[in-house]
Amino acid sequence: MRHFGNPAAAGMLSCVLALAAASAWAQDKVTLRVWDSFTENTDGMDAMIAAFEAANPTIDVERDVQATEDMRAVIQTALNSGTGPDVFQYDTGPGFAGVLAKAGLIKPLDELYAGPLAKVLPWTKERVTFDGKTYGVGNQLEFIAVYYNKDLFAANNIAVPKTFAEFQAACTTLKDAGVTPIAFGNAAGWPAFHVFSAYANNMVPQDQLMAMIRGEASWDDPAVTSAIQAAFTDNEANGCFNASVNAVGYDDANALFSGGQAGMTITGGWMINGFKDNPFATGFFFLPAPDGMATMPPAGLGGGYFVNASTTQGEAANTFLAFLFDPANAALWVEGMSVIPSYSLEGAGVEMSPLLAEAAAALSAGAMGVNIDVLTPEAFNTVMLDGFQAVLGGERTAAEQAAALQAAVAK
Amino acid sequence: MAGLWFVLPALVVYFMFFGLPFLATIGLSFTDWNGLGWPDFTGIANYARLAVDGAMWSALANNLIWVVLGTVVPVVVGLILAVMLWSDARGSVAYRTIFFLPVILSPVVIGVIWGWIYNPLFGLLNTGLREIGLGRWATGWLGESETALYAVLLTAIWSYFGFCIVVLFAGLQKVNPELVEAARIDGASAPQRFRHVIVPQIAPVLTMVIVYTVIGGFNAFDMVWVMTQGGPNNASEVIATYTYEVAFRGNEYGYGATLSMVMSVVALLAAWATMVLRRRAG
Repeated sequence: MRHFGNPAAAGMLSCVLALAAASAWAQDKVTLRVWDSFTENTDGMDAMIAAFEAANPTIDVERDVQATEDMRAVIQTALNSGTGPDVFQYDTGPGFAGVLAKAGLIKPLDELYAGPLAKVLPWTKERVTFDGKTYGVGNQLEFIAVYYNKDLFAANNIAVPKTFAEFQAACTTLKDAGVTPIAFGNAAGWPAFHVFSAYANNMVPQDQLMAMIRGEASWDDPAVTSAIQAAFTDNEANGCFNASVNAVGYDDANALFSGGQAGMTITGGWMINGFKDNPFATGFFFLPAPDGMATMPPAGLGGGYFVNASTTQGEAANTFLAFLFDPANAALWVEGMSVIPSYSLEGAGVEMSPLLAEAAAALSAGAMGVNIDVLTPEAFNTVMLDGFQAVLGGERTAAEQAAALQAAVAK
Repeated sequence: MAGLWFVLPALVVYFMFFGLPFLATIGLSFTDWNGLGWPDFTGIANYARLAVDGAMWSALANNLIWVVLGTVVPVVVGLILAVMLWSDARGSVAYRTIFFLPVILSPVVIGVIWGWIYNPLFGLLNTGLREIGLGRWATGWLGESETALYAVLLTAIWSYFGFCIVVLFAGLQKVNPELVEAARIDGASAPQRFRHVIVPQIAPVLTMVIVYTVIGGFNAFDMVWVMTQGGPNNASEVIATYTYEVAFRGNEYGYGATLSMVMSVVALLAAWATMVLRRRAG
């Protein structure tokens, strides 16, 4: 008792023990560096990470948000230089994650698919599989659809188009009523990718389109020319778009639609969150295919998660991915971020806005096409970007653009 | 020797952050590095590619337009306004402050604001044109191939001419007013006094402003990137934006390095030519 008789000494000993315990705990705690591109849903992702850290107190996530463009510009250099993140969100196509996989910069995750990632939808797994190995986890199920103003449609006696002819007729009716039929802002160039994907999936047979994407068939094809002609030349000539599409920003076009000044807009599922508070009833439908063709709405992944091949935090990275793609955490994606994760939401018990519920149901029903630009390399996308602007500006014909696309592949 | 020790830290920093990257860029320009793995030496292949790269020549042509208009207009306007402010000092400080204001704004902010002004849906320019009955002139300024480059250039000139005014105004403080007065008494007209008395006295400052503007013209990037990203269909592409796209979007870092060497060499040549011409004119 003598040794602990002095209260001051006992207090000091307690402090030392507490510090030692804290030090040991701090040593056990690891830091996981995560980069993602949730610039718009950043609070939702912060909540996701807070929940993860609460469930895994030994892992401290250091999150950096990079805009998609910035991520594309820096990720290769960061991974190469050894300053990259442990886990990062990136585009899933062969032109993006496929390049990193080929260079050995990302880690195969096949073992995880046998365990915690078993419930991930098989088609999303295929999109991140290169040369027989699965390198990431696809996420953000997306589609390209035609959003429409239900009030304007009703006021002009327009039913939801079931055929391509009805869709074209809807454009004419809205135009005659003095309403911009389709809000389209292509100043950035990439919004044209989505419009093209919507038309090309419907007008080019799916097998042929996939062969083109793989480089096994030519883009310089009458079906591709027809798709470009219908998507851009005809819509522009028929007054289906607002004026000066190449000078209107993507956000401005969305604002035009949300402001009730346009009847429709063609964009992706990521806008559900933005359109759910429109001051009018908003719905969506998939662009109908011309007669004789199947309607194949473009669907794909908004991104995916990948693990740095040279990470020293492999175990923490696996734990993080297991948490992100655990159906028990579906609410954090759906309710917190309006993101549809890459597993079935059936029985997940999440609350969804009517528009999001409609989208989730649509994604699990029927055959879907592909978002072309997420599967094609950047050099090809550059030719799409510049070329579609040229077609819309009347400087290039649809046939010339189809030939330019093939030339880009050949190069 | 002691002086060398004093400047050594600065030299080390300069070498680390300018010399070394510059040398590395020269080295990369002879490779096909794609950002992954180790670069392969390709000799002068990248430089040979320049000759047949139509997009590069188109961007360079846009740069030349940018350099010529983007130098002549702000320097001439700046010089005239600076002389006016110098001649009559009343309100001079207020005017200089107003003219200089755009210079302190970030190019990104200026680009965004002018993007709104040019916006075809709600922009001030088209709205104004319609209000005064010139609606037929309303267009998508940044989305039309014919107008995009000039629309961005006008913005750049607006944001820059205040700098020319302030620097030239500072140069004008060295002008001997007695010489100007003597020329006036001798019967020289205002343009003659300007051309033969004032301009020669501010020649060094004028040369500096012109050279600085020319080099800046070849390095133009931020305003173009914010407002058009070189579009539509490359109509407003300049060498710097093209280099960025090639290197960071196309992952052709080797060729991107070659393009940046072109940019540097052309800017240096243009600056040297400008100085020689100014010296001869002087």
